[in-house]
Amino acid sequence: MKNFIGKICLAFTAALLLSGAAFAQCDSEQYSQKSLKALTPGFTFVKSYKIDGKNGVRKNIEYTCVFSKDTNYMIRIQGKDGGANGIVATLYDQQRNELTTSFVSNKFYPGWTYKCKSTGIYYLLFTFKESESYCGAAVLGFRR
Amino acid sequence: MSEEILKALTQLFAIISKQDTGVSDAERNFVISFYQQDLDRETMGEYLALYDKYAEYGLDDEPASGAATATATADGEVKVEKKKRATRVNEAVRVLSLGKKINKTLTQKQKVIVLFKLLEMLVSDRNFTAQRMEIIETLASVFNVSRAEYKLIEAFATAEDASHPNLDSEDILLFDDQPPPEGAKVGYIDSGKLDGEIVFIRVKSVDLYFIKYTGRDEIYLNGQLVKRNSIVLFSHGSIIKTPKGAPLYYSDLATRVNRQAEDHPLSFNIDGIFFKFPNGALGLRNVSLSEGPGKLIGIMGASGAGKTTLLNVLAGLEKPSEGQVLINGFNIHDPEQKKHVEGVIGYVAQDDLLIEELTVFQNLFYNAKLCFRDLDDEALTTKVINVLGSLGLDRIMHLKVGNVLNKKISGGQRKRLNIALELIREPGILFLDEPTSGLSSRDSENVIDLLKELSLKGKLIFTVIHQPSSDIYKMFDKMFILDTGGFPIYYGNPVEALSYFKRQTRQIASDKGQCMACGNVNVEQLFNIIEARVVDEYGEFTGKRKVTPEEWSDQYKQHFNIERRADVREEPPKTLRIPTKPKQTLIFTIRDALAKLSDKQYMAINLLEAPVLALLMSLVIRFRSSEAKEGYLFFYNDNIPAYILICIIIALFMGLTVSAEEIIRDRKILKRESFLNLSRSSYLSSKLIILFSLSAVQTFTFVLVGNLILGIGWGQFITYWLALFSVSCFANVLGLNISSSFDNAVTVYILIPLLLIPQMILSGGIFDFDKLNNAVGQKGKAPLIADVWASRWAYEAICVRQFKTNPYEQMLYGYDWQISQANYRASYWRSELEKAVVACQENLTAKTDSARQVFAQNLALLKRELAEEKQVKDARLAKLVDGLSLTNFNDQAAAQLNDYLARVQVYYGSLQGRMSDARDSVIYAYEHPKGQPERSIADLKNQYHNEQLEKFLKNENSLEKITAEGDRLVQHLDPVFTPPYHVSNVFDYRAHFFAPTKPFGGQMWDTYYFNLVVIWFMTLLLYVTLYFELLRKFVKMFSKVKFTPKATS
Amino acid sequence: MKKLNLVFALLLLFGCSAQVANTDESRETTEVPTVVETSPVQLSDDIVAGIMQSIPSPIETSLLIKETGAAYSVSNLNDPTIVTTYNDSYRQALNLGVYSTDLGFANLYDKNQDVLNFLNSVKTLADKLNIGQFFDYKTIKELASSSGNVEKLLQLTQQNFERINSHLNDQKRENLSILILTGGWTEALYLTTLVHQKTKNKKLKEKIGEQKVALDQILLVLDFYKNKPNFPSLIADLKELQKVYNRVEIKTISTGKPVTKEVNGELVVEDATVSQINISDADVDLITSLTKSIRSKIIK
Repeated sequence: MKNFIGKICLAFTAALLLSGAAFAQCDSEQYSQKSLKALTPGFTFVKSYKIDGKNGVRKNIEYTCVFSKDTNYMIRIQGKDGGANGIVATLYDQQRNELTTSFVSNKFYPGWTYKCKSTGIYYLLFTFKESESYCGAAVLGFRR
Repeated sequence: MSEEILKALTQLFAIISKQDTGVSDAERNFVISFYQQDLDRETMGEYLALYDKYAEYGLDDEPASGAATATATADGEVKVEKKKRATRVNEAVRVLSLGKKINKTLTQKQKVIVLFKLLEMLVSDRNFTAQRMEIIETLASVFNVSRAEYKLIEAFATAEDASHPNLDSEDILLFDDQPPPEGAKVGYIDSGKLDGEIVFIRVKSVDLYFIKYTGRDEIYLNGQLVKRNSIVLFSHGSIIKTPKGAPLYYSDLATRVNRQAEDHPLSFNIDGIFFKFPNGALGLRNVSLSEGPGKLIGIMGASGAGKTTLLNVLAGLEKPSEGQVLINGFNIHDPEQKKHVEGVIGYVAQDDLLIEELTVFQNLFYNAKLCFRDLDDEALTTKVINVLGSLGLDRIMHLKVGNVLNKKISGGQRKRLNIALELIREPGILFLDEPTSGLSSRDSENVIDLLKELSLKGKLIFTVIHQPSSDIYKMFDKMFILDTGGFPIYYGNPVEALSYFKRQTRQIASDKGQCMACGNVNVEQLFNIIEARVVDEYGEFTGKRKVTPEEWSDQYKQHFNIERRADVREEPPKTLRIPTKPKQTLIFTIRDALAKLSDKQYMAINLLEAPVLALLMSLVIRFRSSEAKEGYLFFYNDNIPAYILICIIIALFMGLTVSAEEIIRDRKILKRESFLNLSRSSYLSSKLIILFSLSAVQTFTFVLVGNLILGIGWGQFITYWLALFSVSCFANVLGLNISSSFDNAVTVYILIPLLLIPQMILSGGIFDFDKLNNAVGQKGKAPLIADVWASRWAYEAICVRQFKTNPYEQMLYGYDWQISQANYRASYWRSELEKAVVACQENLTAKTDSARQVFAQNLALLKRELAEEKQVKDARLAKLVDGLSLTNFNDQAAAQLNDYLARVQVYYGSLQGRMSDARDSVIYAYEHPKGQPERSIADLKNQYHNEQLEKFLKNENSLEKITAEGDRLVQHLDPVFTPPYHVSNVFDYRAHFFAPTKPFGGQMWDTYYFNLVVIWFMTLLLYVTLYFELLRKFVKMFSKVKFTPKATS
Repeated sequence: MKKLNLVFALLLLFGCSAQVANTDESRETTEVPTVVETSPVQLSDDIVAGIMQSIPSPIETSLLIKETGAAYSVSNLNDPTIVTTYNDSYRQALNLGVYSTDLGFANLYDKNQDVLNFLNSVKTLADKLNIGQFFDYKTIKELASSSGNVEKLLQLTQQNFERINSHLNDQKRENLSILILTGGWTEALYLTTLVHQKTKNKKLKEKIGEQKVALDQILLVLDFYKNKPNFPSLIADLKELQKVYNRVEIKTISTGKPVTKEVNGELVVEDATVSQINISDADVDLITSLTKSIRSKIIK
């Protein structure tokens, strides 16, 4: 009996060890604060997005949002890798057509501004590209 | 003597003397000498003329013309017979009417004296005709003198020598050289070689003594020559001096004749007592006395000589440092032997021991009730009325005693009543401390007269007396004189005292104790001699005494040899039958209640105080918030927590003030009653019954008015009342404690703030227990220092119960506390532990001491707190936590902990959600009752719930919701929803303030009842300290160190 | 200490034990609810969270109202003093949403006293819901006490609400989140209809119509909690509103792909699709009156 419990414990410990360095937690709060500061004046903060790749376990992080016509929306990204490095924000419309992305010509842009003319549901997808930390945050601001 | 009486007497003399043989010269001379005693020469002539006329002296058988109408007395009752020889019938009628007239004005004693005078007149010429004797006998019966007694008086007056058979009575005493024959009833004192004999007669009914001397020697009564065969009144303090042999004192005689004294064998022996004051000074030095029954003993001395001390030692109030006081051989200072002489001692202190608010009758009646268990009320009433009658207090029986400032009865009456209180239980030995101080000379005389009478009835009476008048002085059987420093310097006959001291200082006329002409004793002179000071060369007195107390004392040792009476080896008779304890309680209670009820001011203030204060306060704080749109709403009254606190303070205050003076006021009465050996617990119980009842009424009216005005629902009435009643009772007993510990009311009233202010400070209602000086406070527990104050328990009790059991919260409390606890675990507790895990991780590899310490501290915290988490169970984790140490903590363990904590959050989060939903459905059910119109729970809340109280009990004003104290986390969030935690053992009763329940004995108890039990427990403890007077002993111990004892007078 | 304990042991011996034994715990736990464990909500937690994330902030609407030049009137907003009348978590959460919209609204107009009043109400409700710790009351109060901090205030309140949502999420109490959102959204819609009634502003009318999207989202989420107390009536009311919204048409005309340009190192995307919102005046009026009645039920 004792032996059995011992084995289970051993197995459990092994499993934990295998899951490796999974213990570094992602504190996205500080990155959203950074992003917030990067928001261009005139834009009002509406939402923040956690970008926690769970150390690479999660590759895509998608959020749904409702954009209104005649409103400009701005995304700002900050990550653990420094600036927007390693994180790409891509916007899709309801029909999943890509509208824009923050990774253009091999360059990580800190975000983009979307001049919306059509009210509806949009998808905001965050992906990691050559990221080391899989950790960051983004904020959304709007301006009419 | 009034004119009227004198006239009546004159007529009597005349009527008697004119009988049969007519007036003789001897008789007329006797009448003349009688007039001489009282009247001046001129008036005497008038009366003599009157006598002559009535007696028809010098007249022959001629009718008395003209004069008859002129001499008719004003009332016209007496008609002078015009006939020379009146018929017997007419004479008899006249005697009767005269007798009745005399009856109206003279006392019994005076009437007896009149009888003796009439008889003496006949003796003057020894003409005892039948008619004469018949008239006097008729008169005696009109005077209500019993026939037997009259016969004895007659025999005494008429007999030529004592061997007359009619004189063989126990009320006759012979002072003779020959003893009476065997079997004779008469008393006898050996006269030595006196010629003839002195016959004493006691007229028992009025307790008067008369003497008649039949011999030819010169004997002096109070310095006055006694004529042969004359009958003389032998008054108090009289001394007969014969040419040979020792003087004969009144007291010797009185006791000799008074057989009653022998009925109560009593010995009172004081063997060489010394008394040492607490400061070491000697108050009494080698005092020895020995007395038997039927003596009136005076104790005199300069002020500070230790008179009162002596009295107190003799009465058993103070313990001598050496020597013993024995009553019938029982040492009264020995706790064991004392029991045998219970009730034998009576003590009348110098101060009044009366209950001012009661009537004379009530004072005595309730006192008597405490002494006689066996008598019913009727018998007691009779007894009391008898005693009052015998002391001449029957006429003022229904007057209130009143106090010295507001006099209802005179000083003498007060004193007599004081004595009556002792007398009614008939103690064998009575001690009085200056019974005449502050009394008029007439009152003083009355009082001492009374004492004399008592001593003649067989009581042994010791009286401290200060500067008595001569008459009073002489009434004492013995005088004991103390000199400064407690030296005994005289013990013996009072009149002899002056001669003794004169002799010792070789003054002239030293053989005369009193003024030969007037019979007065100059008591002042006595002390002038004793304390005489040395005169310096300028003729001024120096501070030095001619004869020091020590020298007087040495003289005393030489001259006085106390003959010690043999101890009577039997228990003194007991008249005292004290009632059972419950009965005593009842009597005390009734007596106290009557006294209080009759004090209108006291009652008015005590009964109105509470509702008036309640009215005032509640009207002032009936606060209408701007948020309450439809008038006053209880919910928005921000003053409720303060109201609760003030209620408690007021209850405490009322309780303290009403009780603080109780025992001080009663102290003297208690001192007196200590001789009755009454039960202290009965006395205290009666106090408690009265005070508790008053408290009950006060707090009842207070809560009634206050709660009604503030709109606190009826449902909470009992909550408030019971708690306030409890603190008020607590305050009552506390007040009684200080009342019994300090000697004056001012001290006590100064003490009240000292007891009340900490009650406020540590009530928890003013200062937050979490924000007290770190030395007294322990975070997360109500401080120990507050636990001894009733206010804290009562405040918590009312607050918690008002909050928990109002109809609104009662419905939701079951959910609220679980939501709160789940929230605490899920949010605060969990996040603190997560922080601890991070802190451990951060300092895992640190080398500095401070970092290691942080690590160790956080690890200890984790271990302790996780071990106490019971709901989210994880056997593996428990094992991990158990084995955690500074050396084996690692990231992996941290991950496990974090994982566990995440589960804790989910568990408690969803628990909170479920409870919250359940709570919502309860509210929904309330708002949508089946078959009834919808109602709003907000109305219920507005009516019964209080916002400010909720904020208080949920500690909403504090931003600190959780703190780490050492290796544990302390919850500051929602104390009223937090059951006690960190309970260390079954006896640990401590919890955080406003906890809904209290731990004790491995169980949880409702805070309200628990707290009330605590208050009552404290009350009980205070009762114990009160019973044993622990505080008083403590205070005494304390004052002994500091102060010297005051001089005693 | 030990002595004291002993004393209390004695106390127990002195009777009075039996009647005091009112163990709240046992009684209360047995009473615990019959209404628990609803539908398989747990399964779709993430989806629900996602949908809730998408619902637009009422601040967008509020800003629009202000831009139309509408005057500020506090009487349009909920009465901050009646906060104590919300006693169940359902109403507390809904009105927390209502007040937060009002707070934002007053904020935009820089009405400091009102901001403080609403802030107080928000704080009170947050405390009642045991989420007050995420509300940085102190900082917000400081900011609100002086004017000119509108941006900062909006940002902070917005962040606080995000935190609250996230916390409720962690604790599996999302039903409260959706109520807060619903309350906030309803209040914003109500204010819009109110101003529109007076001004007949075209943009506001469009905005009202646009809410179709948000309403659909909200109902989607609410449906998950339809078994919880009070939810059914709210859902029913909103479904009634949805019926009207079903007549609203949002037409989109695509003109190709959006163009991304780089302006000063900043990516700017011009939407190539234009939407047109068709809504009849009658429907607007209907929505106006329905919203009013729903809102009055919420704040009751």
